Amino acid sequence: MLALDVMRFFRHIAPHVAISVSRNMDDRRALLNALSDQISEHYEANYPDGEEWDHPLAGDDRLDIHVSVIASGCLFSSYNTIKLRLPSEPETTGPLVDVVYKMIRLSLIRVRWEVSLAVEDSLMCCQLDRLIDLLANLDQLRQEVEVWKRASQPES
Amino acid sequence: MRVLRYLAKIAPQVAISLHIDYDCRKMPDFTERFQVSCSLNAIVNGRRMGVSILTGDPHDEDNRLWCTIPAAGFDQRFFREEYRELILRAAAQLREQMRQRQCSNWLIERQLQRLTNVLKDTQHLERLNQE
Repeated sequence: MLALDVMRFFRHIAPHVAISVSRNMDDRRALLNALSDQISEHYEANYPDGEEWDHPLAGDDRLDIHVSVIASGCLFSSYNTIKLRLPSEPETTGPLVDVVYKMIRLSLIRVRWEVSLAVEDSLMCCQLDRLIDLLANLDQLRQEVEVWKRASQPES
Repeated sequence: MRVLRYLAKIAPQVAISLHIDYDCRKMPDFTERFQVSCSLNAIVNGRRMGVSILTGDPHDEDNRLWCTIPAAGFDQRFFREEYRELILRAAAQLREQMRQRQCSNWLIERQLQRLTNVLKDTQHLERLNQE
């Protein structure tokens, strides 16, 4: 399952949800990165007994996940940054990709929560719920993407 | 503002923002006029698209997304004629941006059309303003 195919599938089923995943390497995000580090330090200082995240994929590279929707005329967005050990070449399958999908799902849940608290927009809630449900089961997501790819290919 | 709430109802996937600030170009009398700027955003096929004071050509006076209004008698509940023109211009620019990027989406195009129709119906706007 190619990550690009999954993003295209998401755009097909939820065209009014913007999801962007990008490698955070530039200095323009320095302020956000510093804030993110500060929050982590604060968390570690105040919750010393908390479980450490010793995931095998943990590293110093940053990956940004942005989710935005417009519901009832208001813009809702979520920004997440996750520290991972990223390969030099982008991976399309494997545990790293699964972690990214899980992070996207968390961002979607957060936006869905904010939308439902602030406004009533059934179209946006439906699109967000569909994505959240799909990302709950990655095996099923892979199957659905394959079916969609086959169905959307022009007949030869 | 009642009109903006109505516009959000008929075009819920289009975010309209009107920003009102002092007109700092008129120092030291900057409190006499307000500067109003408009931005319009939509998510079209998973891509965030928008127009604002930053995306327009600052020298193109006919298409600029800002204007000034007198500060005296300003009422934040009243939808002024200047706001109407700014939002109409922004909707036209957003539609043009979608056309240039070859982004076609029935729902957003329909909502932009609805916005335009309502804003062109000055009697309807007047009724909304008075209610």
